[in-house]
Amino acid sequence: MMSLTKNVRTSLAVGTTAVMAMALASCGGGGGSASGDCEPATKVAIAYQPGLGYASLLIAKQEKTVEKALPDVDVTWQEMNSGSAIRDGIVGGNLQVGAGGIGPFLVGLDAGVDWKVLSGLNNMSLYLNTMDSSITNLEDLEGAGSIAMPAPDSIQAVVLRKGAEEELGDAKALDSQIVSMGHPDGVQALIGGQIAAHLTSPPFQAQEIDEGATKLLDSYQLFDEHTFNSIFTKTDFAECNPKVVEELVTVVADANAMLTDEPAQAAKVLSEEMGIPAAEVEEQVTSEDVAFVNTPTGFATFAEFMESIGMIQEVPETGDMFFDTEATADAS
Amino acid sequence: MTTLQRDQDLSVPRDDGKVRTSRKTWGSLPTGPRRALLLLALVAIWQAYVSISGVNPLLISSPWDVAKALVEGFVEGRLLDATLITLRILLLSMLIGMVIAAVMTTLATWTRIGEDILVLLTSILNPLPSIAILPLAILWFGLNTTALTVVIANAVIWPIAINVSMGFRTVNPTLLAVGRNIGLSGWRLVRDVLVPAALPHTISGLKTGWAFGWRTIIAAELVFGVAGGKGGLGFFINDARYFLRTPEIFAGLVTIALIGIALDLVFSYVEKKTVVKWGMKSGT
Repeated sequence: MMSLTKNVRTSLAVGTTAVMAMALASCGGGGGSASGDCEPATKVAIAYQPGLGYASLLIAKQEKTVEKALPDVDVTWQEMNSGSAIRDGIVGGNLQVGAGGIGPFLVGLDAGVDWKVLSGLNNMSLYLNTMDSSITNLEDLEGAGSIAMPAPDSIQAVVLRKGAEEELGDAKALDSQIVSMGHPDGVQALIGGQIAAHLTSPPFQAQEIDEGATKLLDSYQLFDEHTFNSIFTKTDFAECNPKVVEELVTVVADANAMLTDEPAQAAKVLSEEMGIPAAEVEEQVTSEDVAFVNTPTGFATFAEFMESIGMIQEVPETGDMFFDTEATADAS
Repeated sequence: MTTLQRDQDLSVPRDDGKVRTSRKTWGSLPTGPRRALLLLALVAIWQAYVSISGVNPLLISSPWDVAKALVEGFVEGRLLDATLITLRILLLSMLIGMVIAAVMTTLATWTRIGEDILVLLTSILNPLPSIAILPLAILWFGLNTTALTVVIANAVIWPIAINVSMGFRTVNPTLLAVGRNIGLSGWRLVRDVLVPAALPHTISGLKTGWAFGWRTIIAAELVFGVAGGKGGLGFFINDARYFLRTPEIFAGLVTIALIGIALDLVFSYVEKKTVVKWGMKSGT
């Protein structure tokens, strides 16, 4: 009789163990790649988001400069809606290189994602826009409806909290009004009157202003000139793939040089990728609060503010935020 | 099979009572300990996997971390608030859904046109996953609790309505005839004969309705944190994901499961005290 019990128990245990192990192995498997043995990657997936903030990457994608520089690597491009989604992809091992704002990068670094910035993509000012003429400052906005942005950890959320701290005395005063939306959806929602305000990025903020929106906040006034987006990857990937890293930094630098020196040419390339007339893109690219520079700026300023309001636990050392590349010599 | 064979051989010389007393099989343990043991085993495997495999803790948290997040979440109140918000919206929507379902099924029992309307609406709207109307609800009502309530009410109305009207239609004709004989009609016939007779179906309708509503509200909250941003459990999970607090994601999931189990127990208790006791349904 005891043998029956034991048998049932053992087989149950073995069965569940096997099933659990298989299930767990299949979902955890992606993350553990390239930790011990160091084989250069044959596939590199690069993720970016919609908008002008990724112009340097869009040009590289359109001109296939990464593919040409790395003929042995299978390069794929993926557009995603928020830095958080990209971070999930990198943590899960499906993406190797991501581009995004300072917010998701610092939140990830603070939570223990072992990654650093390869290069800045650009400096851009981010606006908080409203279509409601009765809202003229953050005090009016408080309790007036939803405020859309890509995610509650995005750089836009940091900007909103800084604004709330300065104007309302409480960084979290508007937190309860935040809703997560991709930039294009947010534009639709703002123009359609679904939300009270939208904290977005170029070219979306300019489109909204063309539709009659007014600007409530400007991130340059809160943080001075700062990096909007940068590209980052995990340190183990960078160690195993120095060539990929080097080429990516060069490709971004070349694209940024084109955007700065030949905006008309760059606008033509971008207009195909973004579906906006070239003249309009050129106007945006040459706007005064947009600069395509490779040196990351303002990370420490953002980190200090994020630490002060508890979005991250501690301000990282400069060496923990940036790889030593050509672009990051004067990073801050 | 061989084990069973041996058991039978061994049992031959013994008398029945002896076999029964010595038969300490898995199945002879009471349900509670049996399932608790399995749960413990699962948690142990989970902990072992996390400790041994060296999996990235951002992907899978250990049960210990999850337990800590769960306790902290309830002590600090963030997880508790989220749970209460979700439950409040769910209860409100269920109440609305139940009233609408009750009105519709009563009308359907009274009049032929009411029945046609009910059949038509349930056949159109029941197969539609309720979460599918969320975008429309957001357009109509905005990003607020109203949109959520409408979506969830829609999720619960149809299963309840279908079950209750099925209950009404399958009421023993003799009971109905007796009711009519003693002069009941209209509302009193519904209240005194149809409703109690249809109770087993009503309860299972409520059970299905609650299950639909529960799944829908979590899904809807994942799509957008309820405006007024004090979001419910779905929002809690999503927020934890945004800030890479993986143990909190698990803690949210555990809470959802626990509430599911608790409500199932409530329904079982109600069934035991009513329809099972009245002999209308066998106990489970």
